[in-house]
Amino acid sequence: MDIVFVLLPFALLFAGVGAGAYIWAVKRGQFDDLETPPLRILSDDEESKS
Amino acid sequence: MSSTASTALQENPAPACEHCGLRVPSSRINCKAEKQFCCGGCEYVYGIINGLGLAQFYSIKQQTGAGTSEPAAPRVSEFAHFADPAFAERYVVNLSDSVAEIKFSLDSIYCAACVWLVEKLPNVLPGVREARVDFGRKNVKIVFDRKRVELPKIAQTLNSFGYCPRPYVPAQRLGAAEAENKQSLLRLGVAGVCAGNSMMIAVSLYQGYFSGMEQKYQSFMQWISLLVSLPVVFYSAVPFYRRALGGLRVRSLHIDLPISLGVVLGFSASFVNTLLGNSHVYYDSICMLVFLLLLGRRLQQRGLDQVMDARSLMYSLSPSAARRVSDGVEEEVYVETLAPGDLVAVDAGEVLPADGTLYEGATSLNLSILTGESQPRKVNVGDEVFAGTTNLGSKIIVQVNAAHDDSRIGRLLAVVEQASSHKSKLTEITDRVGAYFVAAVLLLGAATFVYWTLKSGALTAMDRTLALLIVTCPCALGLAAPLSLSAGIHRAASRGILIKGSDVIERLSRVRTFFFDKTGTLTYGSAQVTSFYFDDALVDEVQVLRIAEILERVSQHPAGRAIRGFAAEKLSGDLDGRSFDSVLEIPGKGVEARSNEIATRIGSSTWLNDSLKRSKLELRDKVQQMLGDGESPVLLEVGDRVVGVFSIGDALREDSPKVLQHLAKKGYCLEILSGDVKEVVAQVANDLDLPLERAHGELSPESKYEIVSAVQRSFPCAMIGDGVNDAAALGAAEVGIGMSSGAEACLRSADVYIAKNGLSALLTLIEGAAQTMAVVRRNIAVSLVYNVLGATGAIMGYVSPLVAAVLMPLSSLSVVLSTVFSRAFTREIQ
Repeated sequence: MDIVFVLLPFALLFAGVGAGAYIWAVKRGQFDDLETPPLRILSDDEESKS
Repeated sequence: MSSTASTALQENPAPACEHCGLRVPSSRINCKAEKQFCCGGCEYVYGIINGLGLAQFYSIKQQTGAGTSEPAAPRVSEFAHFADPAFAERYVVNLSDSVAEIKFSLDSIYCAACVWLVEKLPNVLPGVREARVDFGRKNVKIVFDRKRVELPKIAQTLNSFGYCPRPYVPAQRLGAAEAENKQSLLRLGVAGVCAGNSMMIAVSLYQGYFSGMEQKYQSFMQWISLLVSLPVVFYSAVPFYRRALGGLRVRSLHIDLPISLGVVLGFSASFVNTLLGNSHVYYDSICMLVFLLLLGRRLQQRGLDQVMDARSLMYSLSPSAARRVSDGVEEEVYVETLAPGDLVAVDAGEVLPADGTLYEGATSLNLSILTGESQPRKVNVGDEVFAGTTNLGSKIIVQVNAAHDDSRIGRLLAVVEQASSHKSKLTEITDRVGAYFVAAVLLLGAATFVYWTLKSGALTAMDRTLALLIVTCPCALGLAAPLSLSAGIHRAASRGILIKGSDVIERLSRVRTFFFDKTGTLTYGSAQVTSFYFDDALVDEVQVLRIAEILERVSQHPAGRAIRGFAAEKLSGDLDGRSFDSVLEIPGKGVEARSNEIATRIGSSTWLNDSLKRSKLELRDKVQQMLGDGESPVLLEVGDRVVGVFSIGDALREDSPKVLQHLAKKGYCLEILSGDVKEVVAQVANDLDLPLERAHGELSPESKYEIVSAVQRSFPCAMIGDGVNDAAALGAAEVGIGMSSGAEACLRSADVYIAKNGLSALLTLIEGAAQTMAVVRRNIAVSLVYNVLGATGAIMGYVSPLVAAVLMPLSSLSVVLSTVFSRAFTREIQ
């Protein structure tokens, strides 16, 4: 059972990585505009021209 | 025989425009062409889009549905004023030496295809690096190379796509609100992660609590839980402490006070127990509590913050460019550079950029934006004219008195902004119930602590008090109102009723008086054929309509357009493609055509008075009756006789009488506030069975505002309107309700925006609001009952802190279920 002393901090580390990713995303403004991106994926043509 | 236009206009839709999908006006229907367009702009854009190989636009649009709004007025401007240094200084942000960024508002962005098209700008215009659309705020951010492309060129290209750009002016408050929004998202997310993890650990701890666990594992897990709850207690929950302290500072008991106390005490007790090696820790309850409360508040706040400042509203109503005349030369300038004394030229069909006096020319102006007056007003040299009004006649030159913020409409919008921001938001029901609740919990807590300390020592006392605080944690109370209100808002939105903010529903449920605007709210708001008669001894219906339609094709007058539309509807688009040899519009009178020496004329009753005298008695009576009703008759003369009469007026909305009757029956007080002339308002009141003293006419926007604020001071009232002239009154009322076709300023200052179903949606709204409030009260009652039972148990010592922590989510669950099964806004009232 002593494995829990290793596994639990390890699990928390993963949670920390997730939280870090979330904080990064919020700070980068990924949640600022929730309406346009779903519309943007409708245009599926080549983007290489520009 | 007669016919009512308002009903006819709802049936037989005309063909849809190939580009924008809007109804094609009869005058633009081209029988020979395969594709139909509602305006020159659309036809042109269609050409451009196909020419650039971007025809996929149309297939995307079909997938996602096109807009339903009216087309924006085509602008002839070349956007030369965008090159004005004063303009660039204000709106362009330099990113580096050559690269700059600007934001434009594009009001006509309606669908996915618009986003796609505008973001194709870099492909079409070299020098533009990036175009990113924000669909919700209807703006686009453009990054461009200043050396390779100029602003006017960018604006022209956007305009040629059909999106007329105006500089984007965010409200001053908006920047702060955005930062706050990010902050609250972070707090919520962090609380979520921590709550999830500490719940997971708590499961092991509960297991250990019931079936035994070695001390080393238990304290290890407790320390880990402690670690996980630190961000929640010291970061996510900070707003609660702040509001609780803020409340204490002004000597009021905020609902966040017991929450803060619960969090701080719970954490401290857990910490002490962790140090001492006791098994009672509540880290998971604390984290969950904070997470759920933050979630509830976020739900409540969504959809708020639609405020814009007066300057930005200004641009949506009056042009940002003006043509200044100096030494006989016209030059396009940015409107903020206009100074009193300048002369500006305004062509027919353009909107006046500034207040001033008419310097040259004579014309008629459409004042409806300012006054709600349905008939155009004639102006001559020396008369005062106002920004935002439309020049309907011929080219004029105006000497500027006041421009922009100082103009009448600018000042009016400043009032709008002020009135909306002054609205009290502190009356929410939870806060009122909360204050008593907090006082009761604090008193009980203190009493419990003292009682048990005296009876069985500090440790037991601590345990009982903690159980009390946890079991009464106003989690359900905090969720009760936000949850049901935001559920109500969502259901309303699916019925086309957009409610801005959860407090609106509660305020609406208190309203007993409704003020209605007339033009555009009770009526359709545009010139329409309200009835139509003809001399059946001489002609048949189809002939009259066809001839009238052919003649009115040349007319730019609103009445002419109304008749054209009416004829096209009645004939279901089966029009006569032929035309007369010479058709001539005589300003102020009508249209005249000659073929084979026989004159055919359509126009005002004064112009055709001679031939009216020779016509059938029945028609003459009808004309007299129309004049008496405040409507304008338009006569069709063939040969030397009047054969048909069209009555032009502003028709009542079909559902207006029914809605008003319904409201009157329910005991609401109804009044009309209109800028239109008294006779017309009286006529409308008569049609709606309203007593005359309840119908007020000839009101300026300022006096509408006065009336509403005066009533509002003594009891809550609602104002329903659609125009800029209603905007200030909408802001002053307890609840301002804007109608779909309305002006932007009005929609911004309104608390509720009715997007479809006309006035009937008002009934849905009122009933839905009442039902939602019933659910809110039920939820609060449920959570109060739960709290009373729990508190009793805790004080008596039947409920240990741990059991309290398990019971706590149950009350939240009952509130959630009660909301899910509520029926508010599920029924549409017809």
